[in-house]
Amino acid sequence: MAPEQGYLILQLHAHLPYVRHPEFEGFLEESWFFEAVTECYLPLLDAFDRLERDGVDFHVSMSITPPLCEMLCDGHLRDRYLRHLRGIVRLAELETHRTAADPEMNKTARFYQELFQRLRFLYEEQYGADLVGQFRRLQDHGLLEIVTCGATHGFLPLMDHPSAARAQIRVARANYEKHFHRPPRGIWLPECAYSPGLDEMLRDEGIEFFFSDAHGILYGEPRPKFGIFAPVRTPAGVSIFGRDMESGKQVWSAREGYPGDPVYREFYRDLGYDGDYEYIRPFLNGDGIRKDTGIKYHRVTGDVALGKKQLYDHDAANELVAHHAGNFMHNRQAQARHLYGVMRQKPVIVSPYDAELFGHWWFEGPKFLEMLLRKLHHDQNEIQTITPSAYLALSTPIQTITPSASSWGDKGYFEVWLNGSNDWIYKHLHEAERRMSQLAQLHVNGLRARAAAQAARELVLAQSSDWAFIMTMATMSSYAVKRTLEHIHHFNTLYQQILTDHVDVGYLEDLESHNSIFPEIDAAVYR
Amino acid sequence: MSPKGKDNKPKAKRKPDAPAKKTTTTNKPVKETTAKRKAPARKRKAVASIEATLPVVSEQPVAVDLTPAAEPGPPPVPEPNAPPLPTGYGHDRIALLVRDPNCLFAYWDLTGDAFGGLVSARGEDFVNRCSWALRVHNHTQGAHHFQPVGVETGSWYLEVVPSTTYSVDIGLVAPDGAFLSVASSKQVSTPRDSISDRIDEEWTVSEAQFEKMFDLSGGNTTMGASESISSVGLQRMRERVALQLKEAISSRRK
Repeated sequence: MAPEQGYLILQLHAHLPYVRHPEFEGFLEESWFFEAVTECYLPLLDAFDRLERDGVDFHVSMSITPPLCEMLCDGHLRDRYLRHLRGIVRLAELETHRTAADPEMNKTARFYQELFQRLRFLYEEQYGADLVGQFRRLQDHGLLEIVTCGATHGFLPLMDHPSAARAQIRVARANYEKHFHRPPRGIWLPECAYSPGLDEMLRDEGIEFFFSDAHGILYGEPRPKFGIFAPVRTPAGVSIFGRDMESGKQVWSAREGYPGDPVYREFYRDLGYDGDYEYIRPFLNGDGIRKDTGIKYHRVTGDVALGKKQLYDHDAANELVAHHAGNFMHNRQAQARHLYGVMRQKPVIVSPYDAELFGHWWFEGPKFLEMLLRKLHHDQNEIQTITPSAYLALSTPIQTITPSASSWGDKGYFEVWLNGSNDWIYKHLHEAERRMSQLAQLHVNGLRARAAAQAARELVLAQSSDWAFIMTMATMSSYAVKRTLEHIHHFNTLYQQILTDHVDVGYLEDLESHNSIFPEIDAAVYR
Repeated sequence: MSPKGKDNKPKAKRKPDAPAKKTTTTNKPVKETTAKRKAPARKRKAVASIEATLPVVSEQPVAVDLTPAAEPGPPPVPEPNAPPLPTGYGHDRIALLVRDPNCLFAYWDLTGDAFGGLVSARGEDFVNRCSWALRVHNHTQGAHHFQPVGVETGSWYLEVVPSTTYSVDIGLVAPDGAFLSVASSKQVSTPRDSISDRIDEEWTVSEAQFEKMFDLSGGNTTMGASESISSVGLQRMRERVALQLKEAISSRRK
């Protein structure tokens, strides 16, 4: 049954840069990945499973980037993650004893014990450590639509050689087919960054739609009749869904958004920093440096110092989540009703979020999504969730416009990835692009072909927009700088070895085992 | 809507935090050993850490509001040695990148033969009397202007106007005003930053109706409003920074 007023596309962008460091036990950056699995990907899957089991008809669009898929399927990371997960289960158990004298804290400790036991059961037993397989199943059941992204989240508008952006899309497409057993229909452009010409490239690679920030469409030519509330189509025939700011802000704005409510869990107070060092030591990495454990006893409370935060009550947070889900639904209904009145056509409201917001940054986020999807299904018929492909299949006429360059970064263009803190990278990345294209034209075989494939891996890893982003945002960007330098260095070394036909097998094998993303990659994607 | 009434004459813009004095001491393009680069202050920070092949950040963490209650920490443990960058790639090249509707970024690598060729052809005395500049072509208006640059800076930010096609050459300006190009960039176009005047005949929309849709689409509240346009990624980064700060602090505590 069609909704009375309009459609809602929830688009969750799940991405982490490729952080795999077999050389060290307990590498800090690997814990980004572990935290995201525990706090976001597992709880999201658990929520989607429950919804499906309860017969809730819901539709969510998700981009799961190739590096994330590769990490989720990587044997080394799976083993380490399982060890990590068992560790926090053990810690949560210890916590139920340690807090026995304090009923309030003990309630939360028991809540964590139950939560982590469940997550361990899901990961190890129910899902057999195969989270990508679970997302694939949900897509096969028609509940999720998974779209692809750039191979390594490379910032496409700032690439120079045409083969470089094309290779990012080709590698992503092949990797998507490997993980999801079908070709992708849509793409979340890395950082939502578009520049003219990308649409033709997407069309050539069989991509039917992408997402754009609002001004990319609003400043399009000719004027988009329905603003961002109907997809538009580029002259190359690729459809674009524009990002709605209103629904976005409600969720993620630090000031006005739901996650900042005093009742929700405080992110920055963690047992890893608060606990007695000797007690917490066995649960830290090999370096013994304090870090987050995921056991957090405090709530946002308000604008007070971390030391003044009050204790968290997950029952109260659960009640508030239900309230916020209802509020979000009512706001979308009102928005759709109003838009329908103006447009005389059912609007589509596109709300993209970083997936990691739900659970990692906003602990109660997965519960919020679950409640929202339940309410939308049971309580009303004004709006309906839909996937982009399903919307396009409705065959509503679509206006053709030439969109404007844009991104979802600060100020709306490319400055976050091109400024005084990171502009030095482009000279080297661009040269590597040219050299990679040259290597692809050589049609080498044997060991040199293996080296050329590894050179392609090093190049795409160097291109991750995450590094430039971290350089802009962080006072301490040494990891991002180091990753950039290392991949460029490895690329240039391999390039010389291939040209001179002196491939150092030991060096190559070492790189192949460390930077092992995309085993399927072939330098031919740069032709 | 016109392109926000910006003056149509492109001007050169100094890089952020650029030192006021940018005189070139030699006309020879420096083989780009990073140690000799006179990059503007902000850039120099990044480059300095690279050239030392030890990306240590010596600044104190600033985002103290995110940290647990504790005094600011010492610099974090530096990363193990990172490999150095190539100083140049042995060719003469200038690239032009779009940053936003009002700003382009040009960088160059002049480690090829072009400069040497000029010196042999025209003599060292002649070359020493020349100065380096970017010739900025505005292909939309069919105009160009010159922007003096210190060749050793390796890059420059140019202030430009939206919806316009540009290219640049880097080269020498001779005493008689003649421009001797050493390298030329490809053409790039700045994005539009305003509503198009064109209305689709099949999709006619009145001015009032479009204004309404534009407003409902967030056009009047979001464009250029950094808080609302910035991504959740910023939040994510804040938390990662906080994590590293915590780490620095706790390593001291333990």
